[in-house]
Amino acid sequence: MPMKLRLVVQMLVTFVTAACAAAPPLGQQGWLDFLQPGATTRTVAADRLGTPDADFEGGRILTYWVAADAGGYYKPRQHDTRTHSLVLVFRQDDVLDRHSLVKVRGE
Amino acid sequence: MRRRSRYRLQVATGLMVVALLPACVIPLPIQEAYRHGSRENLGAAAKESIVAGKTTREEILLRLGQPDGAALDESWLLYVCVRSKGGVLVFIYPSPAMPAFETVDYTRLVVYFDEAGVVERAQFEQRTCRETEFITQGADVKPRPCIDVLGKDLPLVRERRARD
Repeated sequence: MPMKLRLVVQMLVTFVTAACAAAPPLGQQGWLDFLQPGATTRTVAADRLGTPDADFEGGRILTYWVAADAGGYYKPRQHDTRTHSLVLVFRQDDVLDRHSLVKVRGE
Repeated sequence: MRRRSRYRLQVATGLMVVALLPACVIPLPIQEAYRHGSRENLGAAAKESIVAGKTTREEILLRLGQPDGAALDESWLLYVCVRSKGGVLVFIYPSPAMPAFETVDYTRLVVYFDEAGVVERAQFEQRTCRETEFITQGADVKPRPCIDVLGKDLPLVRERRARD
């Protein structure tokens, strides 16, 4: 094969491979494993999860939108990637009492 | 009844346009699916899990997740599900507008709470609407849904009751 043709074929293969490569998953396995009722404090939850999307009952209950992909769960940047709602309920001493991860979207 | 005849007129107009321009019109089916961004966890189980006088706001949030709307004083929480039952999108060339005829199922759950955060009552509404939408380049004219999905018809705070 002539050198020029070989170069063109190699470039084509590179472009096609790059275009077909799937984006790496954004989710992390065990991202929410730190949530332990009776142990996790409000400060730790805020440090790991950031500002809540909503709060109820004077901040006793916090909610966060969560997305999921093949890699695990992650904090979504876009509205349409939200699949779960994480609900955290704190005791009066700001320690996690109960929590749930509710699937709101996606078959 | 009036709404149905209006819808029929819109469909007939659409079909007439389709008949007049056979070479330039492509009808495209709209698949049955949840609307973009709609929640999907408002089934019968959600309704059955709410017991007036017993279920608390905390339990509702833990079970259904973040609501789609809430009163300023959290005296009600709103959950909405929108599912398209399918329809047809008519692609017309060279017209910039594409009419879409669609049947849409709206489900709205409003849970009202007392001052202690316990469910007073739950209002579960389900309605099927036939909608006509004109999709144009840049902006599409969306029809008004037959249920207020934003909860603008609900009071911002608990309505005070007159005492005896």
